[in-house]
Amino acid sequence: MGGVHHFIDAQGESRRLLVALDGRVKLLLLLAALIVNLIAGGIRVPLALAVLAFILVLAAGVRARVFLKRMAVPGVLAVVAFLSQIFWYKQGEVLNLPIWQWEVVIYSGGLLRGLELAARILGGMGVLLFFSLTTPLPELMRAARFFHCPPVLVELSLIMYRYIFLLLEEGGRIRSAQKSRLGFADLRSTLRSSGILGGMLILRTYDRAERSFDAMRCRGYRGALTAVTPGELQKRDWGGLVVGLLLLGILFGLR
Amino acid sequence: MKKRFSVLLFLVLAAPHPALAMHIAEGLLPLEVAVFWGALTLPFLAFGIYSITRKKKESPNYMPLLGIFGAAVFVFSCLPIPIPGVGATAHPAGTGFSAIMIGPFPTVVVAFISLLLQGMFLAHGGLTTLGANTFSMGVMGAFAGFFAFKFSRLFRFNLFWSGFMAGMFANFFTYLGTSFALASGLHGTEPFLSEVAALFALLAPYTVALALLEGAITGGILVYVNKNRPDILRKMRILPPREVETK
Repeated sequence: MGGVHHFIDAQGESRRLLVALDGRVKLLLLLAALIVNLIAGGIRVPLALAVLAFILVLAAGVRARVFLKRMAVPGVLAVVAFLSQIFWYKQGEVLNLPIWQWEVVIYSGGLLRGLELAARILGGMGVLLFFSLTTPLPELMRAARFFHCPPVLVELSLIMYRYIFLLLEEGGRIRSAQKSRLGFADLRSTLRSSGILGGMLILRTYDRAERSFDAMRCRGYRGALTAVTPGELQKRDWGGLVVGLLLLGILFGLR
Repeated sequence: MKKRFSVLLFLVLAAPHPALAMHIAEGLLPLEVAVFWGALTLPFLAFGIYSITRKKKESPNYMPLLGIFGAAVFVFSCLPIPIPGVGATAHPAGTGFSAIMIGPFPTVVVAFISLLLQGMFLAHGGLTTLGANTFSMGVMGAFAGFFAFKFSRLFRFNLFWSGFMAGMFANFFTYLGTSFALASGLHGTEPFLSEVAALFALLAPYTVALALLEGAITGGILVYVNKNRPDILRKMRILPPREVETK
């Protein structure tokens, strides 16, 4: 998981145009794209959004393999959602096939709705991935603060984000140590090892929180995190916003 | 008598991926359904934020503790646990344990942030489905776990079994919530409640096994902490001082 952390921050530091666009612009475009994805209907717009996200991710300098790998889970869910609708959306029977004591019935309405649902999942997840692969969390949080998101939520998100990767590495190390001592060998030892692992994480977390608070106070923490406030939008941000909204408008018109 | 092939097929497809059922993916819920779940979650989230703000004023070190603790719960919920007899792994919800340690309302906020981070940065869940996911994990899981722990303590269960009940009920109710949320997006022309039942039946083999496992692990963690650092349980007011183990 440490790799993910490095990856996201590394992308944020590179100054390609799509990555360098202001977080507020990207957040607005993300919300607009997700709404278009949900309300457009049919499969053309969501699939176009998925393809567009893929192209933009490549343009932002992310490897195709990374994007496709992360789309694997949504891809499986899209297939499951598609299959569920084939049988649960009963409009216009197209096939009735008896197999032993079962009866396979496929409906045309279900097929269409299933495709629509699968496309919506792919479109939505594609857009989300584009956003996540080109926007570091601190930038998102600055944008969230600008849009009057409660400061407690922003502060908590930043602290959690900072420590998730550290604790994942720590948890991984404890787990490896346990495995080398025959932990996680069978169900009984797995339960015991998991309990100890969770307990050790809590102990270390608690101590770390106290140390962290002391360190934060030494650096001037008085109950609120201070961060660089986002400045004025630049010309390229306005341009990105207008082009993005236009593109979404055209896609919505083509539905 | 002919059985419903659809349920069987869905079950077979979902079998290797029980953990995926935990978070509803972006795009799965229509806009009006997503708004409905968001509106249902909002009061809990708002009260959670209010409660954290109040506690932060009382004790300035509350935020780092909550943040790092939230991160630990996130990490805990990423631990793969093998499900016996299935050959697959699933992930604990972690909300029951979190509700015991930091309370149910802050757990809603922590779950919301965890789901936001998972949705936006790990492609698990989504943004328009955040309300539905937070309701199942954060609200249903946290409150079920919290009350299960409190009632168990009331009935004088020991620490392990109280933790066990909290972990088990939190997990079970999380899946119940997920079934409702999934059915609201997938039910098609079938009656809503029959699809809830079908989805819950689909998830049941994993839910029961995973709930028992999560219960055992939650109980184990509490016992471990009580044995090694009882002061943490005392400071976080989980146990009264007389019940805390002395080293």
